[in-house]
Amino acid sequence: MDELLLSKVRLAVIAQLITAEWVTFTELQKSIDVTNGNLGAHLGKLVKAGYVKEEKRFEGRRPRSRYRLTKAGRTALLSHVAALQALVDP
Amino acid sequence: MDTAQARDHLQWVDGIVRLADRHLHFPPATLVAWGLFGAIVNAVQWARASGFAVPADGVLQPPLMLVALGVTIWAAWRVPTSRRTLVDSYAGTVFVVIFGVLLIVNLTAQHTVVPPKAMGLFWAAGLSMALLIVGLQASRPLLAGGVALLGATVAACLVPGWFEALSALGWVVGLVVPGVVLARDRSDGRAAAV
Repeated sequence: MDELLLSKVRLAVIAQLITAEWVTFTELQKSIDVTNGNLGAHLGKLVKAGYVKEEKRFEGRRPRSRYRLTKAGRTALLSHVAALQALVDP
Repeated sequence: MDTAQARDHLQWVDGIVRLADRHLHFPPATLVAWGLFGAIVNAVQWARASGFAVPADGVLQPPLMLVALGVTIWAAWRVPTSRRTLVDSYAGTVFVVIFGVLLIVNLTAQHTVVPPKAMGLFWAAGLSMALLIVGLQASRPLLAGGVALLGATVAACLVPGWFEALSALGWVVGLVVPGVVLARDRSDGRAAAV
């Protein structure tokens, strides 16, 4: 089981990202319903682990961060889900 | 982690993946623009067949196509940029490939080996395929539009005297109406997909 994905918020972030090419910080915050600071901290850990790639860009004059799942993140989620399934249905 | 927690986490992931997978952010203005384009082209041909004096296809169609292309580009810029789902990518690919193939065939074959009526049939059949493929995956309005456009095309073939009129109707019901439905949906097609 992946220690990093034992957090429900980080698990939700990875699950959101596996269904999209990319998702913005605002959309993630809305979907998962956590505070900006909380989400930022969790995203920081996922980026540091190489599970998520952060892209900073401007839309008009407003800076926006968007996030993509990396290959490592995808593999981690699939392994983690397989481990959870093995625990539920041994 | 115990079994109950593991089950809870699995349900959490399943809920997110199942919901997010169905999100489609399709620009409604694109559907309306191309629906009107197809309807006008067919309506003009119907008017010509009925004896009315109407502009030649070569004069009317290129500017209309440029307008529809302009609306498509403008609408693409206005698509909500908070998320691009895999369904969005898939829908984009389907429409671009089908539209591209039809355009190439149109530019090369019409007036040489394919009469305008047959070309109209190709466009309606091709676009109904795109609507059905994307609609089945992610959007009820697009699915209904695909069925309507295909139905109108079949009806047009069965009643050749009304071919252009029924085709024009098909473009309106098949593309313009779903476009309006999606535009009215505040969540840009998300709720309509469920």
